Amino acid sequence: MKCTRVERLLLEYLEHRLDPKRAPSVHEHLAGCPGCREKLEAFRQTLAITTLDTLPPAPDPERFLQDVRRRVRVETADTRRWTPRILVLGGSLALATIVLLGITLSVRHRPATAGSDLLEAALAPDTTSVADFLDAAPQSFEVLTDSERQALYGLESELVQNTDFDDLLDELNTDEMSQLLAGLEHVYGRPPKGG
Amino acid sequence: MATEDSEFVRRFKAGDETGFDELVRRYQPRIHGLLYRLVRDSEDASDLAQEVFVRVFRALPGFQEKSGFYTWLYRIAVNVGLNHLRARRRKKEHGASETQMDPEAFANLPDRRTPQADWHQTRLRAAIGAAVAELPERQRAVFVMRQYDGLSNDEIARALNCATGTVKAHYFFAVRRLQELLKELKGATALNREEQESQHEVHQG
Repeated sequence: MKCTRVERLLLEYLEHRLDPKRAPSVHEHLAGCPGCREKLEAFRQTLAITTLDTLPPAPDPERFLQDVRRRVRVETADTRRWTPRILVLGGSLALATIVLLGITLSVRHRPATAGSDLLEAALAPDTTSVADFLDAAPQSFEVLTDSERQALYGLESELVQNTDFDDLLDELNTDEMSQLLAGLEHVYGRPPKGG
Repeated sequence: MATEDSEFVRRFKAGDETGFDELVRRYQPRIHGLLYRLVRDSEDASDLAQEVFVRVFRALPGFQEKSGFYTWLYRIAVNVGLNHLRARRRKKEHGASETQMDPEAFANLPDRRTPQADWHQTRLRAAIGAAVAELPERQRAVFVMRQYDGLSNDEIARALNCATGTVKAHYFFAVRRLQELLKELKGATALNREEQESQHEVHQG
């Protein structure tokens, strides 16, 4: 076995995680190779140092729990507050936009299956907000970049604050979100207003 | 423990929210520890841990229990931590000046007035933290999950939704990079011991 190959197996060898079939040949190589033994020792020392890292104390459990429950209450109240306003906008406009944006983003540079998964998550009966949508689609963590997720939240915020669709489009076209929405051109069949 | 978790989940789904409280009490320290190791900032770690449990609260009614509760929780926490790191990196790329010190790397630098043993421990933690903070996000996550949480390559691969070979490669490159960054710390514990012994001798003398 060559040194370069052995080097890649040293960590597993060190941690006794190496496939038992491979371990004897690595062991044999090490016996006759001072260079690889040095590398093994260097890895061992590095890992030993990192074990000296200690954790700061975790927050007080009861206080932490209270904070979590408070956040849950606030976020639930927020969801209830904006849902009726979305309905004013015209039924499923918000959700449809989120779905279309999600699909567009996923098709643009993600695995082919991601789009249908996101669609399913967005159309789930329990999905009434972007947070719901992201919760219902754990793969969205992988599929959407952070800025895309932020864009969804931004879009949601615009939908909540605007009750007129034309005003909404104008608003969307004034900020960076229009860049993302420009990707929807082929879905809408026309470029976004002012884009 | 997994049986108790299932019982807490069942209670929550039946409308008894104390089931959720028990799960938070049980796992909050571990999730906080994981997030701290990822983001190297105690306040951020607390905030992100809260976010994790808020997500859990909202998603728990739909939790199918195809995996254990902790596996599911852990995966959410890793994703929340990684998203935070990505956001922070983008913010740095777009806004931070080049001369600005990295708060992540230097937040834990000790004050010389602290007692000797604490000073060494804090210095060590700061140095390790700064080195780990140098790793790319995925390498960092793999390293933390394997070195501190003892997960297998397969478990990490499932949590990060990638191939086992990718996990092995990330871990290898993470350790090799840390080896370079922590070179000067080798023997730090020996140095610590020597300094403590010399202090002891002074006091004895």
